[in-house]
Amino acid sequence: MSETLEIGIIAEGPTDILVIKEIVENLISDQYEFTCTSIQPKCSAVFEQLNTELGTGWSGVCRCLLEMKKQSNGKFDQHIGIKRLNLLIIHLDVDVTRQSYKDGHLRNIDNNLPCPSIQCPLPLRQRNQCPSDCDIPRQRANAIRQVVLNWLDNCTPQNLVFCTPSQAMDAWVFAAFFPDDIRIRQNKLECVERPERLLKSKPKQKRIEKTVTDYRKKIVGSYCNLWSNVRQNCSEAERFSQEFLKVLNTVET
Amino acid sequence: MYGIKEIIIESFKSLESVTVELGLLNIFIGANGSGKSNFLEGVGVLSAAVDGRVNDQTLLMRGVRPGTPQLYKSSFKNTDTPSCIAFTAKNTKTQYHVELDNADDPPKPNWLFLQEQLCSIANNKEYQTQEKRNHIKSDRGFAVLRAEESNKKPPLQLIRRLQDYRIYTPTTPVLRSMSTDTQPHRPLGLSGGRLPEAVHELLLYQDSDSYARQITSDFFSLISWADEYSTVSVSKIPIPTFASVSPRILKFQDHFMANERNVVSGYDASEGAMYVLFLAVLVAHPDSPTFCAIENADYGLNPRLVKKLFQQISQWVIDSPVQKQLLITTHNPIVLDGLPIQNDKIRLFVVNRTSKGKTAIKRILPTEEIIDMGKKGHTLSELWVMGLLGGVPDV
Repeated sequence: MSETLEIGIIAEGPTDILVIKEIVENLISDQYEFTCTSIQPKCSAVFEQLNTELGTGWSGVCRCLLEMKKQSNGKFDQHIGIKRLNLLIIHLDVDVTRQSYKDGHLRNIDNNLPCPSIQCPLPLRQRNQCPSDCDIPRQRANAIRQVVLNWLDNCTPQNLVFCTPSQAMDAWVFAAFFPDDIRIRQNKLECVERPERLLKSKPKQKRIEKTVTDYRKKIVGSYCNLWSNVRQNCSEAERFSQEFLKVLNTVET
Repeated sequence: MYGIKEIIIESFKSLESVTVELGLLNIFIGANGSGKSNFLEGVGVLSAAVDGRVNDQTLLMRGVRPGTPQLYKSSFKNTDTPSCIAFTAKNTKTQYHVELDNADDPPKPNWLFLQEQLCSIANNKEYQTQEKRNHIKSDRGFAVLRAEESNKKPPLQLIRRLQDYRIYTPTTPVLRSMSTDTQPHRPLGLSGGRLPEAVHELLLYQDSDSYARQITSDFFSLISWADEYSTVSVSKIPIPTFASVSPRILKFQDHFMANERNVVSGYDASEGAMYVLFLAVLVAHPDSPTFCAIENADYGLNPRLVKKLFQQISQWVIDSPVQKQLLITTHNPIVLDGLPIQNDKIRLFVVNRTSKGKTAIKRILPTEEIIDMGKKGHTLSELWVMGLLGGVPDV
């Protein structure tokens, strides 16, 4: 393919974008070149101060998608900004299922947030070893995907790939750098709530702070090569890889 | 009129292989470090090559930062350093191609011409000089000679236009005549030096040229506080003695001030007026280049003025009797809202760097969808700021 692939990313935050770009680097073999552009909603700092997370976070993704839906007269898949892309990635952490629109300073778009709670059926004492075929993360990811589909009235482009880490992107970061951690051996990582705390709990020299500076220093350039660790240990990472490659194949032909 | 239709740059800085089909007004947007300036400078190297010599002096006089061969030749990770840097320019009838090389250590003052071709596109026939000498691996190019000896319009106009090229980066102190221009040229220095003299010449020229007259009067639709503008000797206007490095200075009449106290000099006037006049001179002065680039053309301008100014510049270049060609870089989204890109002469390019660091330049075409969005009240600036056109940093 002679043309440069153009990939758009609508993600919760700047650290998520850095991780996604690393993943894309891994999934697109070296022979292809691409540009990644993050798509963000319009916002002014004054309103960000009034409503925290207005510009970023899951509500930023929501606002961005709704704004684009409006710009394209309800036909999100026909938006010129989408049509010029070879591939569009929409990222939302699975833990958004627990949020309400009020949390995100959004009017109640639909009665679909928070999603009905999906609880682990195992009794507490048996949760030390989660079965490998546990589909709880998948059910939660499907729930948040459905929320996005509702936002867009199911009008999604064919080149869309969902990126729905369970329960948050931090789990994918953790899985990459700490593949021998006990939570991974117990197959529980995707059910850990607030996985950023796992990263914070590491000794200082191994700790990864959730800041762009720390991510640039510790993740950019190395995470790409660790993606196989994540695919092995996080079902949603494997799902993202497969869905990405499927869309990529249609782009190439 | 044979304007430049296409520029191809290969192996120069971040431009591994870039082809840009030009209109008259060409706006380049992109993140800092995406390669916009590299493209403008690549055209500057091409211009120096056309003129016969590529060295620090010929580059500086065009506004190009001279660089060592290591810096000029693309050096991407895991790839071999190219043997040369290569440039091609075309109009509808003629193509000029040049390949340049220089030793890495120590570099020679002049770059070597490994290959130089000026030929007709229709039959690929080269325009040769009458002297049968071998031009290959010389430190001189012979494009001008070849074009002149051909005595044909297409090669002559391609070469003249490329020779003309320079990159302007106007700065407020120079535009105000408070600082000297390190690259003085007629009619304007590369930082905007000689602005009062150039405005004076333009005001004289407008008496005999309706196009210049239109442009000098359009100034008033952009700068509403001024009733009149002209230039005078510095001795005839009250300014601090240290304030001007030029014998002439711009003079404006402020619409709101009382008579006899309503004269404002270029030293005091709003910088917006300076930038508008700078652009007007570049477009309408009879001696301004037919092909040039401007960096930071929108500096110091109110957003609404920016939009109107770029609407105005678009109209100026569309109406230009000599079909001036401008390359302009900007970081101001509002510039996009002033561009009638449905006119093929006005082109918008987005500059990005790929995953391998190579600069990619893509034209934003006025598709039906874009026009349709405009009808619904959406703007190109909003699409750019959201990242929907590309050309934004990850911050």
